[in-house]
Amino acid sequence: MERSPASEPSTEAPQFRRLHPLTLLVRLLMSLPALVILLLPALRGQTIDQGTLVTLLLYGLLAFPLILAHYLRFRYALTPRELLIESGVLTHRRRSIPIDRIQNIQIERTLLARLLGLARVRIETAGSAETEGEIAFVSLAEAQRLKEQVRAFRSGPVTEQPVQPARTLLFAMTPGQLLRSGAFRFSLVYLAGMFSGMEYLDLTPEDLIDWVVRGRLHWVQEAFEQAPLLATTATLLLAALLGWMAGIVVHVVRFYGFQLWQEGERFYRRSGLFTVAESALPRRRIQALVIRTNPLMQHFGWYTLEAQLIGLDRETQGVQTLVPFGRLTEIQQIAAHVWPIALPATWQRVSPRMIRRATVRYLLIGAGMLLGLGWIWPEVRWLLLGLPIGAPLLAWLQYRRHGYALAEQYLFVRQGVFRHRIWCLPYQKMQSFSLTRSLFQRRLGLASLQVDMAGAPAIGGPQIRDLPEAVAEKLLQLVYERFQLHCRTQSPAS
Amino acid sequence: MESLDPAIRTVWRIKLLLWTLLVLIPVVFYEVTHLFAPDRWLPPGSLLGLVLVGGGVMSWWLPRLRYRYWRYALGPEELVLERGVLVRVRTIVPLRRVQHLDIAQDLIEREFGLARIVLHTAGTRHSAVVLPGLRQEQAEVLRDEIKRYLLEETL
Repeated sequence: MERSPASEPSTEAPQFRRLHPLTLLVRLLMSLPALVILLLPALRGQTIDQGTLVTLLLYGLLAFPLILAHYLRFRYALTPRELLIESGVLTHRRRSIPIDRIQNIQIERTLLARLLGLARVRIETAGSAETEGEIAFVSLAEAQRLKEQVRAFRSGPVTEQPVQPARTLLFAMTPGQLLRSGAFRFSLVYLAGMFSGMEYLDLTPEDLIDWVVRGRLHWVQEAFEQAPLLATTATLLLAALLGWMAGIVVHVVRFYGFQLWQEGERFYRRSGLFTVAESALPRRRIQALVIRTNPLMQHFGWYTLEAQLIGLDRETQGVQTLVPFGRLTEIQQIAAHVWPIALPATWQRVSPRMIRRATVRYLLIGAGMLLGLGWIWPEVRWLLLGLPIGAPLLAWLQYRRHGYALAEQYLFVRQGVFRHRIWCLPYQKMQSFSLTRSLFQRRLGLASLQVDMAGAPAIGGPQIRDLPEAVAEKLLQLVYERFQLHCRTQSPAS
Repeated sequence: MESLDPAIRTVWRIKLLLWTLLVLIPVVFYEVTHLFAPDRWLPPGSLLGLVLVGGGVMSWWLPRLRYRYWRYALGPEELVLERGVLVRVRTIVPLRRVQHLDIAQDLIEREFGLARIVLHTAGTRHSAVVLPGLRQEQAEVLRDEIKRYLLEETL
C-alpha cells in the first residue's frame, strides 16, 4: 500500500536472472523415474528390442528439449516493489508478486539439490493458500540472498524495523528421541502395505530365513510345511516387524533434526533427513491446537502437538506438527507460547447410550469387513467369533475416552481410542455450529454437536457425539453465546 | 422460523424425476438387449418397473418431506437453518463469519422464479451453506440484509 511517491519511479529495467545451470541436471535426473515407468515392460523382459529403442528415442526427443526450453525461458527478477517470474515454454507467463504481499519465503532442499549445492525457493503470499511462485533451482547463496532482500525490501524504507524479533528455540528433537518416537508410530497402513508387498513378491518367512542362514535351518521350513497355521502366524509377524521398521524409517526421514522456534508472532519449524523443509506458521493463522496420542504412547506418557492452520495447506490438510514427541507438561509449556492454555481437570461425559449406538455400529462394520476379507482369506472368518466381545468393548472404550469441557476461552473436546485426540478450540476462531440428529439418534433422544473450524480436516474433525438432546441444545446455546461474547470483545479486525 | 416457498417442492420433484430418467437409460438398454436372453433370472421388464416405481415414489414423497422439515430464520447476528429428513441438522452460521455470499439459480429454479443463497465461510465441513427455495425478490432482500450486516461489521 505505502508506495513512496517522492522517490524515483524505478524506471530502470529489472535485472533478470536465470536459474542455476545445474538445474538442467537436476531436472533431467528427476524426470528419470518417468522413463523407468515407460520402459518397465521392456526392462522386465530384459531384452532391448526396437520398441524400447523407439521409446527411448521419443523420450529423448521430447524430454531433453523440454527441460532445456524450460530453463531458457525461465527468468526472475527482484525489484524493491515486486518479484517478477517469467516462465512457460508454449504459453509465456509473467507473474508479478508485490513485495508487500509476500508472506513467507521458503527454502527447500531435496537430497539431490543438497548434493549439488542448490535450493528451491517457494514464495507464499497472504491471498492464496498455496505456493504462489516457485524458483527451482538456484544456488543456496542466491536463495538466501532472495530471502534477505525480500525481507529488507518489505520492512525497508517505509517502516524502519531495526529490532529483529528475538529467536527463541522452543523444541528440538534429539536423535534418541527421534528413534524412540518412531518406534511408537506403528501404523496398520504400513502393516497392510508390507503384507501386500510380501504377497506380491511371493516373499515368505521360509525364504527369508533361508536367505539369512543359507539353508542351515531345514527343520524350520519343515515345521512350516507341517503346520499352515504356524506359517500364517510367522508371515503376519514378519509383516508386522517389517511394517514397524518401515514406520520408523518414514518417521526418521520426516522428523530428522526437528526444530521449532519462535520469532515474534511467527513460529518456524524445520525437519527432514533428505529434504529439509522449513515452514513458517504465523500465530494468527493457527485455528486450533490438537494434542494426540495412541494407547501405547499414552502408556509411556508421550504426546504429539499439532496446530490446525488456515491456508498454507499444502501438507496434511492444514495440520502441522509443532512437537512430534514430548511429555504432556512439555507440550503444555510449548502450547502456552501459542495460546495460554490449561488442559481441563475434569471432562464432561456424553450420554452412556453412545455405547449402545457404537456397539451396533462396530458389529455391523466389523461383520461387513470380516466377511469381505473372508472372501479372500477364508481363515479370517474365525475372527467373527470375537466380534460380540470386541464391539461392545471398543464402544465402551470410545465412550470413556470421549468428553468435552467448556473453559473460559476454549472449548475442549477429546475423542478416539486408537487415535486419541484432544482439541483445543478457541471460541473466537469458530466458523459455524451444527446440531445433528440422525434417525437412530432421535429414537434414543440424542444429538451431536459439531463446531466447524477453518483448516479442519473434512472428516474426523472435532464433534461432541451423542449428547442427550436437552444437553446438546443447551451446549449449543452456551458455545454460541461465548462465541458472540469473544467476538464482540475482540476487535473485529482480527 | 420460516418455511421455504412451496414451489420448491415442484423443483425438487422435477430434479428427482430427471435423476430417475438418468438411471432409466442404462436400465432400458439392459432390458432391451436382454429381452430374449435365454438365461435371464428376472422376468422381463421387472428391473424397469422397479426403477420406475422406486423413482416415482421417491420423487413424490421426498420433496414433500424435505419441504416439511426445512426452516430458516435470519437472526440479528446469525442465520439459522434447520433441515434434513433422515438426519436432522440445525446449523447456525454467524454472519460475521461469512466471507462472501452468492445468489444462485439453475434452469429449473429460474422457471419457477426461485433462487438460493449460498453463504461461504472459512470452515471446511460447512464451508458453503445453501439456503434454497426462496422467491427471487425475497432472496435479494435477504442478501441485502446480510450484506448490510457484513458492511457495518467491517467498518
